[in-house]
Order: sequence, then structure tokens, then C-alpha cells
Amino acid sequence: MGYINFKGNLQKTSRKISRKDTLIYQMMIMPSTVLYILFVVYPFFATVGYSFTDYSNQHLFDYGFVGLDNYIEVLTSSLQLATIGRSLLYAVLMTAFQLLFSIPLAVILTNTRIKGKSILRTAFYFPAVISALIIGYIWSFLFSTSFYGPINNALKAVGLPVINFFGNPDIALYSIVFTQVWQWTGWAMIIISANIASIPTTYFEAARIDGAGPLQQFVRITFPLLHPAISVIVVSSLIGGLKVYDIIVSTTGGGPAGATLTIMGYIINHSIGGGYLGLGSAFSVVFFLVLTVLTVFLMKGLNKWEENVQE
Amino acid sequence: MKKGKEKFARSGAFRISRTKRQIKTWAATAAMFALAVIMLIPIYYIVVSTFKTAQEVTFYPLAFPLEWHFERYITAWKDMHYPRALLNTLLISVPSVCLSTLFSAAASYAIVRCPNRVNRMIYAMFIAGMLIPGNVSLIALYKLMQTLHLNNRLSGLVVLGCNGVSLMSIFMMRNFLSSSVTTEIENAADVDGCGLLRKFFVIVLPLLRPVLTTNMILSLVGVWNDYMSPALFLQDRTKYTLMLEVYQNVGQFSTDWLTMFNMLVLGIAPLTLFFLLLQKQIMTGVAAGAVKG
Repeated sequence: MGYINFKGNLQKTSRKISRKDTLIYQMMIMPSTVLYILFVVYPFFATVGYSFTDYSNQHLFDYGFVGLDNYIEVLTSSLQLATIGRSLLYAVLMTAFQLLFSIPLAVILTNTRIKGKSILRTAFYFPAVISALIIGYIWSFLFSTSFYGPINNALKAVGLPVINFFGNPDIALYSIVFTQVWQWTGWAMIIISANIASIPTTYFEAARIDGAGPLQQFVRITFPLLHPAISVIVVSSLIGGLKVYDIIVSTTGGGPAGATLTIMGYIINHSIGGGYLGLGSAFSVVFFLVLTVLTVFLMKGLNKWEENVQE
Repeated sequence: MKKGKEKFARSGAFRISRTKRQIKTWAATAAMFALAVIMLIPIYYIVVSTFKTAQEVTFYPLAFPLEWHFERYITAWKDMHYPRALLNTLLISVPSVCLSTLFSAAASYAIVRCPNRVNRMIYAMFIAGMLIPGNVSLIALYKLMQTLHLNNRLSGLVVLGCNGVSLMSIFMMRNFLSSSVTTEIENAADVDGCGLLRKFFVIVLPLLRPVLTTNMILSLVGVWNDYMSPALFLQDRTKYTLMLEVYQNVGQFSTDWLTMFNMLVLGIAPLTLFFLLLQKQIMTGVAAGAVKG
């Protein structure tokens, strides 16, 4: 996503387009445009609109303007602010650990002579094909504290205390981060591998002639040139992390005691489920603003990195 | 892992003697395979457990079954209404993947080949939309689906699926179209008197095939695995997708814990098959979609 040409240089066609052809072109662009306006543009502005009203299950048709009341409630509610903070923490941790594990994996699977690389790639990538919902159930069984939970049985066997991974409010969120890092590291690895493969081998040869060791080559050549892949992973995994929902449903359901309640969980369970639509809309707009600020800062940081590399 | 990389990177190995290097290569290979096995143990555990008795699962979690039991698959198959759920999932994912890919291809073609004012404005709107992650507007979307009577309908999810993936596709195809050399072939087609629509379907779409495949694969995995949208917009059990059936049975703990393993495996099975058949395309697609997209 980060690699899109934002300048939008549209190719100039030299010949004139006939009126009939223009009409056909217009027809071709219509389906996407209509769907887009109906399902993306309109809901966004409608949400902004709802956020200034007392729209709720009690006022489904007779809702009225309440000014900034909803926003004041969101910004003074420790529950809602904690939800945003928790989602941010989750997204940052998930992204950081994914990069931490996927970069060495990708380097080993691209730059060394080990055998069976394609089998290894397939194996590491495989969890990414499975739905997050099912991944969550699998780990619920593995982490279970009941008689069959294999991981806790193993802990007991070596004399360690049982850990209630998804039931202990202090560690539940980190346990979920763990399952998602497990699931998505292979995906990140594939993207980084493609990036490493695109680095000209002459760079490494020149570095070797200058006597650079493998570590120096990684620090000086590989890592700085991983900028495109890392941008893609950081942006999509942060945004994906902030939207996390499915994995929460199948591991903790937002509990224990709200310790894993995330933004989407709040919007779906409390705003839609509880019928507080105006308040939920204000919460969504705050979420949108947080996301926008985060994206802008990220883009700035990543662009600066790109400029430094190009110098 | 980092240590392994430093030690075994080919680039650093040229000073070490040949045999030593070979030993290191094999040691690194063994270490990586061990890591892969450890990573996949959770999935192995679930799959192997589906064939075992409760006692075996509890006391020998990783062992092969002494006797293979298939009967719980029959229970799981029935409880999940498997054929119906599979059909519902197909009825949602196949049309939405095909339609969204076709719509995106058509739109990006128009944007690239006919950059007039209207199309430039629409393109700018698409770019601006990247800032709005769909879920922000979920409340309004929820209401809209009810207003349009798309709630509790498979077709409603098709429409949602179409719209959810199309933007990414438009960017990818636009980049592909403006960087590839199709204009010459298209001009030749013009000389031969080939109409615009025919040109699009007969010449441009086949040329776009690599991008189209990538798009279709990525969006299929996304739509297939999605739990949130079907959970929000489908209420009748008869319309449930695979993921909803998994949730209904496993999440609500309405069956015994052993049969749940079989349900999870049945839930994973179709996409796993798809992945094993098309793994090369899927993984190159992921890389291309991310880096070129």
C-alpha cells in the first residue's frame, strides 16, 4: 500500500478519443464509482453526521442535534480512551514483533545456501491462509487450563505453574499478540524476501571486496534497502491491528473484565449491539482522527528514511 | 536467529573452507526445518487430534493415533451443516471476487486511457478514500444495509465484498496498465477496427492476467476468512457461512470439545486445499501485491 504512486501521473494518450468511446469509458468506471460513493463515501459522512446527534435505539427516528456532547463523553470516558490505547498497544507490538522475526527469517531464506527454501517458505507462510477466527480457537485449545490443554499440561509436567493465557487480564492481550505474530510473521517474511531478492547482487559483491562481513553487509546494505517492504508491513499491519476483531472473538471475546476490548469490539458490541449509535459514531470519528494522525506521521517518518537512503 | 544469519550468510562464508561451509549449510538447514516444525505443531496437534480418542488427546497430545477414528467428522459435518455453509461461502466469495476484479479492471482501464476531468476527479476520490478504513463507518454502513434491504441476504455480502477489495485492485491495475506496453497492441487493434469494449475484453484483460490473478487470490482469502461482516449482516442460520458455523458450534460450545477439533479442521480444509494447489501463485501474489501495489 505504501508503494503507490501518489503523484498520480496519468498517462497522456496522444490520439483523440471519440465521443462514443468516451461514453464507453465513462460506463466502465461507473460500477466502481457508484459502489464506492454508496458504501465508502456516504457512510463516512453519515457517521460524522450521526456523531453530533443523540441517535440511539431510544431515538431511532426522532434523533436530534446535540452538538459536541458525544465527543465530550468519548474524551472523558476512561473506558473508551483505554480501548483506543489498548488497540494502539496491540497494533504496535504486533507490528514490531513481526518485523523482528520476519527480517532474520527472510535474510536466511534468501541470502544463504540452505536447502529446501521453497518448502520452508510455504511452511512459514501457511498460518496466514487460515482465518483469524480459527487461529484463535486453535490457540484457545492449546492454551487451555482445562485437563486437555497441552501447553499447560507440559508446564505442569516440568513443575511450572499453570498460566491462564487468555483468562488472566494482565497477559491476555499479549497472548493475543503472540498468536497474531505467529500467524503473520510468514506473510511479512514473504514481502521482505521479495524486497531482498530485488537488491542487485553487485552491491554485496562490492561490499565483500571491501572486506565487509555478513553483519556489516546487513546493516549497511540490506536493511536500508528494505525500506519499501518495511513500509508496506508497518502501514498495513498497524492499520490491520487497529481494526482487529475476529481473533478477539475467538480467544477472549473482549474479556476478561474488558482487558482485551478493542476499538472494533467496542463499536460492534457497545455501539451497534447496545444501540448507542450517535455516541459510537463520535467514537469512530475519534478513532479515524487517531488513525489519520498516525498514518501521516508514519508516512513522514518512512519518507525521511527513503530520502536518507537515496542520499 | 539473527546469530544464525550472520554465521551462515553466503557472503561471509567465502573465507571458510569448503567442507566447513557445507557443514554449516546443513546445520542451518536443520535449524530452519526444526523452526518450521515447531511453528506448525499447533496445526498438526489439531489435525492429529481429530482422529484420536479423548484419552489419547489428553495424555499423548503429539502422538499418532493408535486407531484412526473418523466418526467425529460425520458429527461435525452434520452439526456444521457443512454442504450448506460451504455453498453459502462460495455464493458470497466467488461472485464478489469476480465482480470486484472486473469492475476494478474496467475502472482502472478508463482512468489510464481516458484521463478526462471526470475520471481524474474520480481517481482523486479513490486516493482520498485510502485514508478512510472501512470499519470507521461501520455504524452508518450497518444502517445503510438495512435501508437498502441488503441485510440478511447473501447478495448484500457480495456487494460489500465487491467494495471492500476494489480500491487496492484499482491502484495495482493502474500501475500495471500505465507501465506496460499495451498501447502499441491496442493501437494495432484500433487500426483493425476493433471496438473499445471488445478490445478491453479480448486484449486488455488477458494482458492484465498476472495482476488479476493476484487480486482474485488475495481478495478470495480475505472474503472467505472474514467473520465480522457475515456476523453483522447475516442472521438466518440457513445463510451462515463456514466461519459463522465454526463460531456457532465452537464459540458457543454447543458440542463436545473433541468434535470442535474436527470442526476447526473442516473450517480450514477448503482454503488449505486451495493454498496447497496454488501456493506458488499465492506467495508471489502476496509479494507483488504489497511491493508493487
